[in-house]
Amino acid sequence: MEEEVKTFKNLQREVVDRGLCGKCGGCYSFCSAGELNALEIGENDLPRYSDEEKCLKCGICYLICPQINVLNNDLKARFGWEPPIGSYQSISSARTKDPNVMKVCTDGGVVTSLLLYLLDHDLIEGAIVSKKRGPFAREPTIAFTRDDIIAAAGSQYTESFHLEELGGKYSTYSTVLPQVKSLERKYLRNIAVVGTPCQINTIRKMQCLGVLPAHLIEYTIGLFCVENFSFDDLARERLEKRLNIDLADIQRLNIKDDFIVTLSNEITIHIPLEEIDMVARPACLTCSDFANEYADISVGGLGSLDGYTTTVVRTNKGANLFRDVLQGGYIDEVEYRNTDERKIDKTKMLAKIVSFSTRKRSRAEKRLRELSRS
Amino acid sequence: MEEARVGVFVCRCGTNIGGFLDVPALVEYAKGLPNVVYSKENLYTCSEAGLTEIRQAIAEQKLNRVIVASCTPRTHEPLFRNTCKEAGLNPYLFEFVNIRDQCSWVHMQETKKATEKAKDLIRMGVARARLLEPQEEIEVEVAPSALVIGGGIAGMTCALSLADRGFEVTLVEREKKLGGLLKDLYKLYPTQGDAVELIGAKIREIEKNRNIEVLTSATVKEIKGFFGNYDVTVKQGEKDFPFRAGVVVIATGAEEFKPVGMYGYEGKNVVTQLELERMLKENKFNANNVVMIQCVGARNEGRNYCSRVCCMTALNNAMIILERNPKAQVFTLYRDMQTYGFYEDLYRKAREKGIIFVKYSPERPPAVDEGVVKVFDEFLGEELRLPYNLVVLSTPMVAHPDSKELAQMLKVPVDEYGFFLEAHVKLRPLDFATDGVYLCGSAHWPSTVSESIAQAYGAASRASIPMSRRHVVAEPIVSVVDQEKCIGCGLCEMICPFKAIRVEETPKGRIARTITASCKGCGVCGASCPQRAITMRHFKDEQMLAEVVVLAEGK
Amino acid sequence: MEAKGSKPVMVIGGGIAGLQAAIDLGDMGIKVHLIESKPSIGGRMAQLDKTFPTNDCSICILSPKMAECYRHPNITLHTYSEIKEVSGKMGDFSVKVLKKARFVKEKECIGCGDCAAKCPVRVLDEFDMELRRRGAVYLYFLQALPMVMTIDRDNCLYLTRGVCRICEKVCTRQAIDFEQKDTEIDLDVGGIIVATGFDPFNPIGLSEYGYKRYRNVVTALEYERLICASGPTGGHLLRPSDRKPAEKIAFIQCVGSRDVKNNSYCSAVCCMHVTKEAILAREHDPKTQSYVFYMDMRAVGKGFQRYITRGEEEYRIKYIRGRVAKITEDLEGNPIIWYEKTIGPTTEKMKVDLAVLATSFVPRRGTEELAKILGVELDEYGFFKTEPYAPFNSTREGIFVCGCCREPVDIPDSVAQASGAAAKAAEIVTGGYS
Repeated sequence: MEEEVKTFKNLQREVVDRGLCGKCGGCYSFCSAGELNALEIGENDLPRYSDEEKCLKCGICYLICPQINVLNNDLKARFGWEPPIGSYQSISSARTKDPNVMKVCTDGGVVTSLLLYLLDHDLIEGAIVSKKRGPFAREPTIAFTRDDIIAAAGSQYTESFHLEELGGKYSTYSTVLPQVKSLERKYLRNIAVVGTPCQINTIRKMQCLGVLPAHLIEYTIGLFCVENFSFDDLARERLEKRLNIDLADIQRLNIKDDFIVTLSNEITIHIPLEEIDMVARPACLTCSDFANEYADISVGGLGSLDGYTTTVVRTNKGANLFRDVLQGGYIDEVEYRNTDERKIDKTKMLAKIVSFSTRKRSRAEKRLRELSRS
Repeated sequence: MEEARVGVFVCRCGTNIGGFLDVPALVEYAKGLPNVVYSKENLYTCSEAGLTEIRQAIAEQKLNRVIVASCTPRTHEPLFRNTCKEAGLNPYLFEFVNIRDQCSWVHMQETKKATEKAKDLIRMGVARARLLEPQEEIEVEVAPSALVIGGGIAGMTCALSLADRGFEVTLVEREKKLGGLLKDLYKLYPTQGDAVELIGAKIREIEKNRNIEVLTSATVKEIKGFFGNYDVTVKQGEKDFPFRAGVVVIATGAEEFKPVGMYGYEGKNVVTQLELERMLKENKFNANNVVMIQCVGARNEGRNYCSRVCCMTALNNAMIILERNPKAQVFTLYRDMQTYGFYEDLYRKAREKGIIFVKYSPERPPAVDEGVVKVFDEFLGEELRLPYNLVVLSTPMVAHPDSKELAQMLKVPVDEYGFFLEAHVKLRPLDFATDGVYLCGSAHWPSTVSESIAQAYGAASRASIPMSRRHVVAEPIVSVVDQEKCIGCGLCEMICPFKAIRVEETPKGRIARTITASCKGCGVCGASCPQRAITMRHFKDEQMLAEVVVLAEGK
Repeated sequence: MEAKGSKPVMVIGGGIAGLQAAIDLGDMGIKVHLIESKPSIGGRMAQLDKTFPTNDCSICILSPKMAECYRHPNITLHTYSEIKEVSGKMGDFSVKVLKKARFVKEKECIGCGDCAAKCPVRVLDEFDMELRRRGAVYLYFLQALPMVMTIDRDNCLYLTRGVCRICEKVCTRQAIDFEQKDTEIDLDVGGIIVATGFDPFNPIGLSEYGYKRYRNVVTALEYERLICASGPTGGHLLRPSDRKPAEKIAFIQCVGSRDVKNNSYCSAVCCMHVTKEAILAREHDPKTQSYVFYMDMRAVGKGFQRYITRGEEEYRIKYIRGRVAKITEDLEGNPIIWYEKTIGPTTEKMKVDLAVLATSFVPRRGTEELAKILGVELDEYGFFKTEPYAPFNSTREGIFVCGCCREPVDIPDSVAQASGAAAKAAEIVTGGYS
């Protein structure tokens, strides 16, 4: 009759056990948000069954996994997608006008500015972002105030499981109500999520299915992503030896054309991406989305001058937001002397993005071929 | 009375109760109460499964009292009573304990205390149930005949509808001819149909109908008896016509207020809308400058209501005037233009036809002087002087001065303006709190012809229900007068809201007697009787006090 | 006339009018088939908080009528059903009714809500005017009758994609049945009463009011849900943008009504319901100040004028005569009302916390199709056409119309009309009609 629905067991086999789990937290976030509570985050921050008996075999965790392609056509149909970097309306280079933001941001502070605008205008009640714990350690958090958002500014390149934050937080949104009231869903609430391509991917898949907790997410801001890093002490030693630096010395990190490390003594070191791949997460090597192709607005340093953020405006929602943030005086676009200069600059930005997207895409295809052979 | 064998069914009501109260503890507790021989819980006692359990338990455990501790009797008492009946147990040996609306729902934050309260409630229920007595439902026959008072459009429509269903109708009209107010109207909005033609057609239908007996120049002299069995005496000239009616419909209409002493009213150059219509009908109209004034004697301190029909009437008449005399100038002085619903069309047409609207405020009403009306136009902020040869005052419909008398005869209330007061303004507009009497048309509230007709059909429907059933079943929760104790003081009769208890002359003296068919069991009489001569069936003092005593005694 | 053995009557619509008509007929001993397209009876009255002029709690006075109908031995409820075909003639109609599959077994389901609590889908809830979300399996509203869950086939993940089935797995009564099919039943009836009610006009086309553009501009029905204790905010009047309590409220009359570009008629009840809404706001919070922008205050019913006076004197509602030209928004999301004060005259603007649009009543979506199926005509406004002096007669003999599907009316008039239509239908089936 019908084929067996694929469940977390399949995810375990097809994704986690093969080292492909990007730890976006989508599966866990969904399962806990719906209070099915069959999954938990285990060692190495990988998802696993907490209580297999509780698993109702709904199959939704499987469908929303960024590594599973079943919903890919739905995604394309619903959000639009065009080669080579997804659909978009415009590409700009912009930076914040707020000196407080400028102090802490990585590139142009556009993400922070977008979030501040949304919060100031009551368009969101909070944003899921990552807070710095150390240069290589972040933790997910929900920012409810301006201060929270500014405290979370600055880039990170280690994974942060911030979608389970959403799941965890959600269950406090849906406060434990008596059965009579549990049939109601709360008055609509909105949040924004800042995430990597895999995190935005799982959110969009949830939205395709129309499942919680993605109905709360009104705005998705996507970060460009070459890869994320994850390493243990052994790998850390190796890295330090190779780069001849003490990781504790690192003040700031950035990825644009290459990996840019700023040490506490203000010295900047550039490391070619191929070399840093050794501590990239294996899951990242199978991901083909560089430019965060399904976000409302995708941002990154690549293609812009230092201190500016490349901003790819994708959806209508993103376009309206970007326009309002510009008009609201939160950010400024880079100034061009004439239309030709603008055209050239934007073309260059696009080219860079396309090049990195293509690179990541081929890398992923290659890696997946290798994996299927083994 | 045999020993009580009580069965207690504690409902979880899903999680409405089960989520807050310790239901197993309640079941256990109930088991320990005196006379309880069976106690169990259900997830949903009202479900088929639950009801089956009750029926089975009655049979197997030989229960003679059933208690369901669950939601609210408002929705579920009839269901459980019927279930008992089906199992052969008198339905009034069933007791409902509300542990949801009155316990779990209101004490959601204090579940332990709530459970203790539920125990108290169940204990009280058991104490009462032990003392319950079987009751027999009272069947009252309803005569399949109706008295319709008022032969206007509403009364006639109602009479025809009932007669067409096969019921006998006596239509009583105090004027010489049938027709009511419509006899005096000219053209009706919005169709421009002829009022006299419409009413003429209706009268012909009435005359043809063999189920309707028409008594004109007649009034209702007396109504005795009660719902289903009214003994009516109609007086026509010197003769009395007695007959029996099952139900009564009030369709006595209303009348036009005559604005004596207002705005120079004299019935010649300053007239009312009704007088204008007569002029138009009889072709006695020839004014060129007409000023109509709305809200004369309405929407003020003494009469704070809008009479609903006057704006449409005025506009309709204004347009007829313009049709007759295209050169005429018509001004309408108004406060709010009440052309509601689809009648808004009339307003638009009136404006298009060139009728001029002047808005005035009640603080600065117009003044009718010799040949000119002075009015302060709120929009222009100026005083206008409008020359006239005819001023038409739109006055409200008011209740007939004798509506109160009829109301008293039928034991129904009127509101402060004399309009009959229905059972519930929203959901029972055509019924009275007193059973068996119904209402339609302008006797209820000023209404248009269309609305009167609609209400008349509505009242016919309502009135036909008891007649269709041939009898009504009254709940046996009624008052009972102890003939020995009663001293005939009459207090109960005075305060009964349903006129269901009366002091009568008997060989033993004046003694009160309940009219069980009309009694609603509210208990006001029982509570007030100075001799404690009245008991309420199913709510006897012992039964109520038993609950109080066990509550005070504690667990 | 004996009602026994008479043909049944069909009532289409389970709102207050349909319920009253069905109950009257049932009480007369006539069998009734009540067809309701939503999963539950109750209609628009179930969405209201309180009713004017008595300020009764709407659902509290409605649900006994719902319960009476539900339990009535002579009334058969067909909820979640639609009329597909009507043939025959007065006294002898043949109606095909499509009973949509709920995918829930009505006899097993007890409305406990375990399934809805676990359904992972979130879609906008229609009953709560899209102010909150529900699952794909849901109870239409808390006091729904029948108290049975329904699965929304367009959003159910199993029915659309073959996954999930969580509801089935958590139901303790095995009441979920994905194999259920839509069924068609044939009913023979003697008369038909149409009581399908109204929809509120969607003011999105009136761009000057900023509906959906400015978050704090809501329609009156949305306001009712906000102020209702069973609504998405538990009855706290919190405005949509920032959940702050709304203390200064503007009510704008005649939105889409008395408007030749939209609906030229007057919707009859808005002056009253807006006064009620302003009274409720003040009852909830004595700091509230309400302003009503009107053209004519229409208070024609029993007790209505008094109610308005009470609103002015006791509840300090300010009635401002003047149509609102446009609404804009300031940086804090406060609506700015731009209006003309006709008594003056002056043009002014007012900043408020919340703007409520009293939208016109329009015929329910699907009225045109239903009219075609029934073989009756609609009037120029799209409501069912009747005659002024035979107010329930549609253009086809044996089919009667009452309530708001006929023209905008208030609850007492709907109830009176429903009884009237019942009388007409009874005449046919008990053989008295000539």
